[in-house]
Amino acid sequence: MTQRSVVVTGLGAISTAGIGVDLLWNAAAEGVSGARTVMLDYEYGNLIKVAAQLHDFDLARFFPNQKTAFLDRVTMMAMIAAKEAVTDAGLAEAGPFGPRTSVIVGTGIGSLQTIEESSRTMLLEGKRPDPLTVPRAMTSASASNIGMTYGCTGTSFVISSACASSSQALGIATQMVRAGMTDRVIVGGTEAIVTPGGMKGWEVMRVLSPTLCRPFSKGRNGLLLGEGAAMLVIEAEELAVARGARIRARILGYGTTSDARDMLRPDVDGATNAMVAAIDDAGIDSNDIDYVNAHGTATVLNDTTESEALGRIFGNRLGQVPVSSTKPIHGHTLGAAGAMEAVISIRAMEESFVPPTINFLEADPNCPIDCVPNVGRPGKIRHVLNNSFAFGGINAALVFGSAQ
Amino acid sequence: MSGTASPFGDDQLTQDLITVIAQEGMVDLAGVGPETTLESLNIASVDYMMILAAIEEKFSVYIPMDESLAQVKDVGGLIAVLKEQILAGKKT
Repeated sequence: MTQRSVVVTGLGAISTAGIGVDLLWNAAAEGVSGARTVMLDYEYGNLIKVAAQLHDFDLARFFPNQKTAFLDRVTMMAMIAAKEAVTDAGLAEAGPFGPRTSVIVGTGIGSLQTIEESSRTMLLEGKRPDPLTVPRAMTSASASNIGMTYGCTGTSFVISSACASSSQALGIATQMVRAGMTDRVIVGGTEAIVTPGGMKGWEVMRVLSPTLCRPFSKGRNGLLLGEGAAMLVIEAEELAVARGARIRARILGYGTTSDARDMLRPDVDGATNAMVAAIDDAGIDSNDIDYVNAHGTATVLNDTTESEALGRIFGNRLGQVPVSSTKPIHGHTLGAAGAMEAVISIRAMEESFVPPTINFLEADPNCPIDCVPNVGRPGKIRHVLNNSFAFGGINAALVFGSAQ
Repeated sequence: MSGTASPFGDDQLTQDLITVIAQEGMVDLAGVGPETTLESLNIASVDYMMILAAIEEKFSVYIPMDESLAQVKDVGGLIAVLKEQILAGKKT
Protein backbone atom coordinates (compact mmCIF):
# COMPACT_ATOMS: atom_id res chain seq x y z
CA MET A 1 0.00 0.00 0.00
CA THR A 2 1.33 3.42 -0.85
CA GLN A 3 1.81 5.48 2.27
CA ARG A 4 0.71 9.08 2.39
CA SER A 5 3.29 11.74 3.12
CA VAL A 6 2.83 13.76 6.30
CA VAL A 7 3.26 17.50 6.62
CA VAL A 8 3.21 19.97 9.48
CA THR A 9 0.81 22.85 8.95
CA GLY A 10 0.56 24.34 12.42
CA LEU A 11 2.82 25.02 15.40
CA GLY A 12 2.01 26.15 18.94
CA ALA A 13 3.94 26.45 22.18
CA ILE A 14 3.87 27.76 25.69
CA SER A 15 7.16 27.80 27.53
CA THR A 16 9.11 29.73 30.05
CA ALA A 17 9.93 32.09 27.19
CA GLY A 18 6.24 33.01 27.08
CA ILE A 19 3.15 32.31 25.02
CA GLY A 20 3.84 31.38 21.44
CA VAL A 21 6.26 29.74 19.09
CA ASP A 22 8.02 32.98 18.20
CA LEU A 23 9.06 33.65 21.79
CA LEU A 24 10.29 30.08 22.21
CA TRP A 25 12.24 30.23 18.97
CA ASN A 26 13.76 33.63 19.71
CA ALA A 27 14.92 32.42 23.12
CA ALA A 28 16.40 29.26 21.61
CA ALA A 29 18.13 31.07 18.77
CA GLU A 30 19.52 33.83 20.97
CA GLY A 31 20.41 31.53 23.85
CA VAL A 32 18.26 33.18 26.48
CA SER A 33 17.55 30.85 29.37
CA GLY A 34 14.23 30.73 31.20
CA ALA A 35 15.87 29.34 34.34
CA ARG A 36 14.81 31.22 37.42
CA THR A 37 14.20 30.81 41.13
CA VAL A 38 11.07 28.73 41.55
CA MET A 39 7.96 29.98 43.30
CA LEU A 40 6.21 27.15 45.12
CA ASP A 41 3.00 27.35 47.16
CA TYR A 42 4.63 25.22 49.84
CA GLU A 43 7.83 23.24 50.21
CA TYR A 44 9.04 19.83 51.27
CA GLY A 45 12.46 21.06 52.26
CA ASN A 46 13.32 21.55 48.61
CA LEU A 47 17.06 22.03 48.13
CA ILE A 48 16.95 22.72 44.39
CA LYS A 49 15.47 26.16 43.89
CA VAL A 50 15.82 26.69 40.17
CA ALA A 51 13.66 25.57 37.24
CA ALA A 52 12.27 26.85 33.96
CA GLN A 53 8.92 27.71 35.51
CA LEU A 54 6.08 29.63 33.92
CA HIS A 55 5.39 32.50 36.29
CA ASP A 56 2.83 34.38 34.24
CA PHE A 57 -0.06 31.95 34.17
CA ASP A 58 -3.32 33.82 34.53
CA LEU A 59 -6.30 31.53 33.98
CA ALA A 60 -8.78 34.30 33.30
CA ARG A 61 -6.54 35.67 30.59
CA PHE A 62 -6.49 32.46 28.58
CA PHE A 63 -9.91 30.98 29.25
CA PRO A 64 -12.29 33.90 29.66
CA ASN A 65 -15.36 31.97 28.52
CA GLN A 66 -14.66 28.52 29.86
CA LYS A 67 -15.12 26.63 33.12
CA THR A 68 -11.58 26.09 34.25
CA ALA A 69 -12.42 23.94 37.28
CA PHE A 70 -12.03 20.91 35.02
CA LEU A 71 -8.57 21.89 33.91
CA ASP A 72 -5.27 21.07 35.56
CA ARG A 73 -2.32 23.26 34.75
CA VAL A 74 -0.97 20.58 32.40
CA THR A 75 -4.21 20.57 30.39
CA MET A 76 -4.42 24.34 30.20
CA MET A 77 -0.92 24.53 28.79
CA ALA A 78 -1.76 21.88 26.19
CA MET A 79 -4.91 23.76 25.20
CA ILE A 80 -3.07 27.07 24.87
CA ALA A 81 -0.47 25.48 22.60
CA ALA A 82 -3.15 23.65 20.62
CA LYS A 83 -5.05 26.89 20.01
CA GLU A 84 -1.97 28.49 18.52
CA ALA A 85 -1.24 25.43 16.38
CA VAL A 86 -4.80 25.21 15.05
CA THR A 87 -4.81 28.95 14.30
CA ASP A 88 -1.39 28.70 12.66
CA ALA A 89 -2.72 25.89 10.47
CA GLY A 90 -5.48 28.20 9.23
CA LEU A 91 -8.14 26.09 10.92
CA ALA A 92 -9.34 28.41 13.68
CA GLU A 93 -12.74 28.82 12.05
CA ALA A 94 -12.92 25.37 10.46
CA GLY A 95 -14.27 23.27 13.33
CA PRO A 96 -15.78 21.00 14.35
CA PHE A 97 -13.21 18.79 12.71
CA GLY A 98 -15.14 15.53 12.94
CA PRO A 99 -14.12 11.89 12.68
CA ARG A 100 -11.07 12.27 10.44
CA THR A 101 -9.18 14.44 12.94
CA SER A 102 -7.44 12.87 15.93
CA VAL A 103 -5.76 14.14 19.08
CA ILE A 104 -2.66 12.52 20.53
CA VAL A 105 -0.80 14.09 23.45
CA GLY A 106 2.36 12.97 25.21
CA THR A 107 2.87 13.60 28.90
CA GLY A 108 5.15 11.95 31.39
CA ILE A 109 3.33 12.63 34.64
CA GLY A 110 0.14 14.46 33.68
CA SER A 111 -1.89 16.36 36.25
CA LEU A 112 0.58 16.34 39.11
CA GLN A 113 -0.66 19.56 40.67
CA THR A 114 -4.19 18.20 41.06
CA ILE A 115 -2.92 14.92 42.48
CA GLU A 116 -0.70 16.69 44.98
CA GLU A 117 -3.34 19.16 46.05
CA SER A 118 -6.12 16.61 46.46
CA SER A 119 -3.79 14.39 48.48
CA ARG A 120 -2.86 17.26 50.76
CA THR A 121 -6.50 18.21 51.19
CA MET A 122 -7.43 14.71 52.28
CA LEU A 123 -4.39 13.93 54.39
CA LEU A 124 -3.60 17.24 56.03
CA GLU A 125 -7.03 18.82 56.28
CA GLY A 126 -9.12 15.66 56.49
CA LYS A 127 -11.51 17.00 53.84
CA ARG A 128 -13.02 15.32 50.82
CA PRO A 129 -11.24 15.97 47.54
CA ASP A 130 -12.65 18.33 44.97
CA PRO A 131 -15.44 16.50 43.07
CA LEU A 132 -13.67 17.34 39.82
CA THR A 133 -10.44 15.70 40.90
CA VAL A 134 -10.75 12.72 38.57
CA PRO A 135 -11.62 14.52 35.32
CA ARG A 136 -8.88 17.01 36.11
CA ALA A 137 -6.28 14.45 37.13
CA MET A 138 -6.78 11.66 34.63
CA THR A 139 -3.77 11.39 32.38
CA SER A 140 -5.88 11.58 29.22
CA ALA A 141 -7.52 14.89 30.24
CA SER A 142 -5.42 17.03 27.92
CA ALA A 143 -6.33 15.00 24.82
CA SER A 144 -10.01 14.92 25.77
CA ASN A 145 -10.21 18.66 26.37
CA ILE A 146 -8.48 19.51 23.11
CA GLY A 147 -10.79 17.11 21.30
CA MET A 148 -13.88 18.68 22.87
CA THR A 149 -12.68 22.18 22.03
CA TYR A 150 -12.29 21.45 18.32
CA GLY A 151 -14.83 18.68 17.84
CA CYS A 152 -12.27 16.02 16.96
CA THR A 153 -14.20 12.75 16.98
CA GLY A 154 -11.45 10.55 15.58
CA THR A 155 -8.90 8.75 17.73
CA SER A 156 -7.97 10.42 21.01
CA PHE A 157 -5.39 9.25 23.52
CA VAL A 158 -2.37 10.11 25.61
CA ILE A 159 1.00 8.46 25.31
CA SER A 160 3.01 8.30 28.51
CA SER A 161 6.57 7.10 28.16
CA ALA A 162 8.44 9.56 30.35
CA CYS A 163 10.75 11.82 28.35
CA ALA A 164 9.96 10.06 25.07
CA SER A 165 6.20 10.68 25.39
CA SER A 166 5.62 13.41 22.85
CA SER A 167 8.18 12.09 20.39
CA GLN A 168 6.29 8.82 20.41
CA ALA A 169 3.04 10.77 20.07
CA LEU A 170 4.43 12.48 16.96
CA GLY A 171 5.69 9.18 15.61
CA ILE A 172 2.44 7.30 16.14
CA ALA A 173 0.41 10.20 14.76
CA THR A 174 2.60 10.20 11.66
CA GLN A 175 2.13 6.48 11.17
CA MET A 176 -1.64 6.84 11.54
CA VAL A 177 -1.81 9.56 8.89
CA ARG A 178 0.48 7.63 6.58
CA ALA A 179 -1.66 4.53 6.86
CA GLY A 180 -4.91 6.39 6.27
CA MET A 181 -6.27 5.76 9.76
CA THR A 182 -6.81 9.48 10.13
CA ASP A 183 -6.32 12.58 8.00
CA ARG A 184 -5.20 15.13 10.54
CA VAL A 185 -3.83 15.02 14.08
CA ILE A 186 -3.46 17.69 16.70
CA VAL A 187 -0.40 16.21 18.36
CA GLY A 188 2.22 17.26 20.86
CA GLY A 189 3.19 17.17 24.50
CA THR A 190 2.56 18.88 27.80
CA GLU A 191 4.13 18.75 31.24
CA ALA A 192 3.62 20.68 34.48
CA ILE A 193 6.18 19.15 36.77
CA VAL A 194 7.37 22.25 38.59
CA THR A 195 5.29 21.58 41.69
CA PRO A 196 6.62 21.12 45.25
CA GLY A 197 6.42 17.34 45.01
CA GLY A 198 7.56 17.23 41.41
CA MET A 199 10.66 19.25 42.18
CA LYS A 200 11.41 17.19 45.27
CA GLY A 201 10.89 13.92 43.43
CA TRP A 202 13.46 14.85 40.81
CA GLU A 203 15.80 16.28 43.40
CA VAL A 204 16.02 13.00 45.32
CA MET A 205 16.94 11.19 42.11
CA ARG A 206 20.10 13.35 42.13
CA VAL A 207 19.76 14.32 38.48
CA LEU A 208 19.01 18.03 38.95
CA SER A 209 21.84 20.49 38.68
CA PRO A 210 22.22 22.68 41.76
CA THR A 211 23.98 25.23 39.54
CA LEU A 212 23.57 25.52 35.75
CA CYS A 213 22.46 23.13 33.02
CA ARG A 214 25.49 22.62 30.75
CA PRO A 215 24.78 19.94 28.12
CA PHE A 216 27.84 18.18 26.66
CA SER A 217 30.16 20.48 28.61
CA LYS A 218 32.92 19.53 30.95
CA GLY A 219 31.68 20.18 34.46
CA ARG A 220 28.03 19.40 33.76
CA ASN A 221 26.21 18.06 36.77
CA GLY A 222 22.56 17.62 35.95
CA LEU A 223 19.44 18.85 34.28
CA LEU A 224 17.10 21.79 34.61
CA LEU A 225 13.42 20.95 35.00
CA GLY A 226 11.01 22.88 32.83
CA GLU A 227 7.29 23.10 32.22
CA GLY A 228 5.32 23.88 29.12
CA ALA A 229 3.57 22.45 26.11
CA ALA A 230 4.03 22.29 22.37
CA MET A 231 1.46 21.17 19.84
CA LEU A 232 1.55 20.60 16.11
CA VAL A 233 -1.11 20.13 13.46
CA ILE A 234 -0.04 17.43 11.06
CA GLU A 235 -1.95 16.35 7.97
CA ALA A 236 -1.80 14.12 4.95
CA GLU A 237 0.01 16.22 2.37
CA GLU A 238 -2.61 15.71 -0.34
CA LEU A 239 -5.32 17.11 1.92
CA ALA A 240 -3.21 20.01 3.16
CA VAL A 241 -2.40 20.96 -0.42
CA ALA A 242 -6.05 20.64 -1.41
CA ARG A 243 -7.12 23.16 1.21
CA GLY A 244 -4.26 25.50 0.35
CA ALA A 245 -2.52 25.15 3.68
CA ARG A 246 0.96 26.47 4.31
CA ILE A 247 3.33 23.55 4.73
CA ARG A 248 5.92 24.32 7.38
CA ALA A 249 7.80 21.00 7.40
CA ARG A 250 7.53 17.29 6.76
CA ILE A 251 7.70 14.44 9.22
CA LEU A 252 9.80 11.92 7.34
CA GLY A 253 10.96 9.33 9.82
CA TYR A 254 10.28 7.80 13.23
CA GLY A 255 12.19 5.17 15.15
CA THR A 256 11.69 3.88 18.65
CA THR A 257 13.44 1.23 20.73
CA SER A 258 13.71 0.12 24.33
CA ASP A 259 16.88 -0.76 26.20
CA ALA A 260 15.29 -3.28 28.55
CA ARG A 261 18.35 -3.01 30.80
CA ASP A 262 18.56 -0.32 33.47
CA MET A 263 15.80 1.98 34.73
CA LEU A 264 17.92 5.14 34.76
CA ARG A 265 21.22 4.43 32.98
CA PRO A 266 20.95 5.06 29.21
CA ASP A 267 22.20 2.54 26.71
CA VAL A 268 24.25 3.26 23.59
CA ASP A 269 22.72 0.41 21.58
CA GLY A 270 19.17 1.50 22.29
CA ALA A 271 19.83 5.14 21.39
CA THR A 272 21.72 4.21 18.23
CA ASN A 273 19.07 1.80 17.03
CA ALA A 274 16.31 4.39 17.45
CA MET A 275 18.24 6.88 15.33
CA VAL A 276 19.03 4.28 12.68
CA ALA A 277 15.37 3.30 12.51
CA ALA A 278 14.24 6.93 12.13
CA ILE A 279 16.77 7.65 9.38
CA ASP A 280 15.83 4.44 7.54
CA ASP A 281 12.14 5.25 7.90
CA ALA A 282 12.81 8.66 6.37
CA GLY A 283 14.38 6.98 3.34
CA ILE A 284 17.53 9.05 3.64
CA ASP A 285 21.15 8.49 4.62
CA SER A 286 22.87 9.83 7.73
CA ASN A 287 24.87 12.06 5.37
CA ASP A 288 21.61 13.90 4.68
CA ILE A 289 21.21 15.00 8.30
CA ASP A 290 22.22 18.66 8.59
CA TYR A 291 21.41 19.23 12.26
CA VAL A 292 20.69 17.17 15.38
CA ASN A 293 18.46 18.52 18.11
CA ALA A 294 19.84 16.33 20.87
CA HIS A 295 18.17 14.97 23.95
CA GLY A 296 21.14 16.56 25.76
CA THR A 297 19.92 16.67 29.35
CA ALA A 298 23.32 17.62 30.82
CA THR A 299 23.45 14.56 33.03
CA VAL A 300 26.89 13.04 32.71
CA LEU A 301 25.64 9.68 31.53
CA ASN A 302 23.04 10.87 29.03
CA ASP A 303 25.38 13.20 27.18
CA THR A 304 28.20 10.69 27.05
CA THR A 305 25.91 7.95 25.82
CA GLU A 306 24.20 10.16 23.25
CA SER A 307 27.57 11.37 21.94
CA GLU A 308 28.78 7.81 21.53
CA ALA A 309 25.58 6.84 19.75
CA LEU A 310 25.88 9.86 17.45
CA GLY A 311 29.43 8.72 16.70
CA ARG A 312 28.06 5.41 15.53
CA ILE A 313 25.58 7.20 13.28
CA PHE A 314 27.90 9.77 11.74
CA GLY A 315 31.31 8.10 11.93
CA ASN A 316 34.06 10.38 10.64
CA ARG A 317 31.50 13.09 10.04
CA LEU A 318 30.70 13.39 13.76
CA GLY A 319 32.64 16.58 14.33
CA GLN A 320 31.07 18.29 11.32
CA VAL A 321 27.39 17.76 12.15
CA PRO A 322 25.97 20.56 14.30
CA VAL A 323 24.28 19.15 17.40
CA SER A 324 22.60 21.26 20.02
CA SER A 325 20.61 20.86 23.18
CA THR A 326 18.14 23.65 23.85
CA LYS A 327 17.23 22.30 27.29
CA PRO A 328 19.10 25.05 29.21
CA ILE A 329 16.73 27.50 27.45
CA HIS A 330 13.32 25.96 28.14
CA GLY A 331 14.26 23.32 30.70
CA HIS A 332 13.69 19.63 30.38
CA THR A 333 9.97 19.49 29.88
CA LEU A 334 9.95 15.69 30.11
CA GLY A 335 6.89 14.42 28.27
CA ALA A 336 6.63 17.69 26.34
CA ALA A 337 10.31 17.76 25.41
CA GLY A 338 10.08 15.95 22.09
CA ALA A 339 7.30 18.19 20.80
CA MET A 340 8.89 21.38 22.11
CA GLU A 341 12.17 20.49 20.46
CA ALA A 342 10.33 19.48 17.29
CA VAL A 343 8.90 23.01 17.12
CA ILE A 344 12.40 24.44 17.57
CA SER A 345 13.80 22.05 14.96
CA ILE A 346 11.19 23.10 12.42
CA ARG A 347 11.82 26.78 13.10
CA ALA A 348 15.55 26.11 12.72
CA MET A 349 14.92 24.73 9.23
CA GLU A 350 12.69 27.66 8.35
CA GLU A 351 15.25 30.19 9.54
CA SER A 352 18.35 28.28 8.37
CA PHE A 353 19.81 28.82 11.81
CA VAL A 354 21.21 26.32 14.30
CA PRO A 355 20.39 27.22 17.92
CA PRO A 356 23.21 27.03 20.45
CA THR A 357 23.99 24.86 23.45
CA ILE A 358 24.41 27.52 26.12
CA ASN A 359 26.31 27.46 29.41
CA PHE A 360 29.11 25.55 27.70
CA LEU A 361 32.43 25.79 29.52
CA GLU A 362 34.91 23.40 27.98
CA ALA A 363 34.85 20.44 25.63
CA ASP A 364 34.48 17.03 27.24
CA PRO A 365 36.56 14.35 25.49
CA ASN A 366 33.69 11.96 26.15
CA CYS A 367 31.40 14.14 24.03
CA PRO A 368 33.37 14.65 20.80
CA ILE A 369 30.54 16.35 18.93
CA ASP A 370 30.08 19.81 17.46
CA CYS A 371 27.56 20.95 20.04
CA VAL A 372 27.38 24.55 18.78
CA PRO A 373 28.67 26.01 22.05
CA ASN A 374 27.03 29.15 23.42
CA VAL A 375 26.31 30.97 20.13
CA GLY A 376 24.01 29.82 17.33
CA ARG A 377 25.08 29.88 13.72
CA PRO A 378 23.51 30.23 10.26
CA GLY A 379 23.34 27.09 8.15
CA LYS A 380 21.09 25.51 5.55
CA ILE A 381 19.11 22.70 7.15
CA ARG A 382 17.22 20.23 4.99
CA HIS A 383 16.86 17.42 7.51
CA VAL A 384 16.83 17.44 11.32
CA LEU A 385 17.28 14.43 13.57
CA ASN A 386 15.49 14.99 16.88
CA ASN A 387 16.24 12.68 19.83
CA SER A 388 14.31 11.86 23.00
CA PHE A 389 15.58 9.26 25.46
CA ALA A 390 13.57 8.37 28.54
CA PHE A 391 14.12 6.84 31.94
CA GLY A 392 12.97 3.27 31.71
CA GLY A 393 15.10 2.87 28.59
CA ILE A 394 12.60 4.12 26.01
CA ASN A 395 14.22 5.82 23.00
CA ALA A 396 12.53 7.78 20.24
CA ALA A 397 13.98 9.62 17.27
CA LEU A 398 12.28 11.67 14.59
CA VAL A 399 13.48 13.02 11.26
CA PHE A 400 11.96 16.24 10.00
CA GLY A 401 12.39 17.60 6.48
CA SER A 402 12.10 21.15 5.27
CA ALA A 403 8.96 22.22 3.45
CA GLN A 404 10.76 22.48 0.11
CA MET B 1 30.84 -4.77 59.11
CA SER B 2 33.39 -4.53 61.90
CA GLY B 3 34.98 -1.20 62.63
CA THR B 4 38.45 -2.70 62.75
CA ALA B 5 40.87 -3.63 60.02
CA SER B 6 38.53 -2.54 57.27
CA PRO B 7 40.14 -2.63 53.83
CA PHE B 8 38.46 0.73 53.18
CA GLY B 9 39.76 2.57 56.25
CA ASP B 10 38.73 2.76 59.87
CA ASP B 11 37.67 6.37 60.22
CA GLN B 12 34.08 6.96 61.25
CA LEU B 13 32.97 8.54 57.96
CA THR B 14 34.22 5.54 55.99
CA GLN B 15 32.51 3.15 58.34
CA ASP B 16 29.25 5.11 58.07
CA LEU B 17 29.46 5.06 54.29
CA ILE B 18 30.08 1.32 54.21
CA THR B 19 26.98 0.83 56.33
CA VAL B 20 24.88 3.03 54.05
CA ILE B 21 26.11 1.33 50.88
CA ALA B 22 25.45 -2.12 52.29
CA GLN B 23 21.98 -1.24 53.57
CA GLU B 24 20.69 0.90 50.71
CA GLY B 25 22.42 -0.99 47.92
CA MET B 26 21.29 -4.23 49.51
CA VAL B 27 24.71 -5.81 49.11
CA ASP B 28 26.82 -7.94 51.39
CA LEU B 29 30.19 -6.21 51.67
CA ALA B 30 31.81 -9.01 53.69
CA GLY B 31 34.94 -10.06 51.87
CA VAL B 32 34.63 -7.15 49.45
CA GLY B 33 37.67 -4.97 48.78
CA PRO B 34 38.21 -1.51 47.31
CA GLU B 35 38.71 -2.90 43.82
CA THR B 36 35.53 -4.93 43.77
CA THR B 37 33.45 -3.56 40.92
CA LEU B 38 29.99 -2.16 41.50
CA GLU B 39 28.81 -4.13 38.51
CA SER B 40 29.90 -7.40 40.12
CA LEU B 41 27.88 -6.44 43.19
CA ASN B 42 24.88 -5.77 40.93
CA ILE B 43 24.58 -2.19 42.14
CA ALA B 44 22.28 -0.55 39.56
CA SER B 45 21.31 3.05 38.95
CA VAL B 46 18.31 2.82 41.25
CA ASP B 47 20.59 1.60 44.08
CA TYR B 48 22.71 4.72 43.61
CA MET B 49 19.59 6.79 44.14
CA MET B 50 18.83 5.05 47.40
CA ILE B 51 22.43 5.33 48.59
CA LEU B 52 22.61 9.04 47.80
CA ALA B 53 19.25 9.72 49.40
CA ALA B 54 20.38 8.00 52.60
CA ILE B 55 23.60 10.02 52.59
CA GLU B 56 21.59 13.23 52.24
CA GLU B 57 19.51 12.29 55.26
CA LYS B 58 22.48 11.24 57.36
CA PHE B 59 24.90 14.03 56.46
CA SER B 60 22.57 16.81 55.18
CA VAL B 61 24.60 17.10 51.99
CA TYR B 62 23.19 17.15 48.46
CA ILE B 63 25.37 15.06 46.16
CA PRO B 64 24.58 15.44 42.45
CA MET B 65 25.31 12.64 40.03
CA ASP B 66 28.25 14.51 38.55
CA GLU B 67 31.21 13.42 36.47
CA SER B 68 33.26 12.06 39.35
CA LEU B 69 30.42 9.90 40.59
CA ALA B 70 29.35 8.76 37.14
CA GLN B 71 32.81 7.45 36.39
CA VAL B 72 33.17 5.38 39.55
CA LYS B 73 33.65 1.69 38.81
CA ASP B 74 34.53 0.08 42.16
CA VAL B 75 33.64 0.24 45.83
CA GLY B 76 36.85 1.99 46.84
CA GLY B 77 36.29 4.66 44.22
CA LEU B 78 32.69 5.14 45.31
CA ILE B 79 33.67 5.63 48.93
CA ALA B 80 36.46 8.05 47.98
CA VAL B 81 34.13 10.21 45.86
CA LEU B 82 31.39 10.22 48.47
CA LYS B 83 33.81 11.19 51.22
CA GLU B 84 35.19 14.02 49.11
CA GLN B 85 31.73 15.36 48.33
CA ILE B 86 30.45 15.07 51.88
CA LEU B 87 33.46 16.93 53.25
CA ALA B 88 33.16 19.58 50.52
CA GLY B 89 29.42 19.92 51.17
CA LYS B 90 29.91 20.40 54.87
CA LYS B 91 32.25 23.33 54.20
CA THR B 92 29.66 25.22 52.13
